[in-house]
Amino acid sequence: MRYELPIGGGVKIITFLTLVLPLAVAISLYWLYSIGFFVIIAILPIFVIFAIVYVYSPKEVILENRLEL
Amino acid sequence: MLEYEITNMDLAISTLTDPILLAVTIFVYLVLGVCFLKTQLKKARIVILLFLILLPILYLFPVLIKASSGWDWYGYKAYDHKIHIKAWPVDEVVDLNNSEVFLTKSEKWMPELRMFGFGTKEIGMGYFKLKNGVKAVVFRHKNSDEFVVINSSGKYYVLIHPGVEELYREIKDREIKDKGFKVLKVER
Repeated sequence: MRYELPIGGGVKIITFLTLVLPLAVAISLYWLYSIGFFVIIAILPIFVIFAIVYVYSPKEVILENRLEL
Repeated sequence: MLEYEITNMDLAISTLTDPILLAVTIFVYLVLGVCFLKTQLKKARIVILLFLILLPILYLFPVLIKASSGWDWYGYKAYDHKIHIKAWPVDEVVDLNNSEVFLTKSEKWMPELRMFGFGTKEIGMGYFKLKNGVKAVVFRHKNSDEFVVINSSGKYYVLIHPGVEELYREIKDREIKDKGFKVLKVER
């Protein structure tokens, strides 16, 4: 028997926050220090990877009941 | 009294028109736009949309913090023998008497590395390391060929903005008029 459980919106929102928080930190550093510019440059590729993971993460979890009665 | 002031509005405009932040914004909008179209969950879409709307407001957050903590102008006011310099986070009154004051074009007195302060393409203020390795308090608004460097008891201040030569002339004039006021001039 197969059960399909959709991933809750909460998980997606937490994933989204992990996506944007490093960017927010990098922008804050950019205001305060010259080095912040390099942090932004370093964070952008990571941001893209996170975005790909965010978009293509599974929309559902498939549970398969292998118990045979 | 000679003064040069910029306001929080100048800071806000300078932040929103900073080329690096604009490039980052366009990049983030493109990536999150794709996320918005591809994601299936309504809640996630709302969060993305909210972030896209809030991003430009978030850029103004440091300016709002400064404004709410009583910083209403940045720059300097020169009066009597003193100059009041406000270059966030520095707010100091510098005694020009027996200080070194000079006007220079030399690249080595230009700020190179912001150690702590506020910076966009047009505005730079706070603690900087100069190209000659000296640590200094810098106030820069746009650029100018010549700029004023003040050395007061070993602490350096660099003032850069269009028309800063006027400040140097004013200090020299005051020295001529007021016999009790003496500025050490060192050719650099």
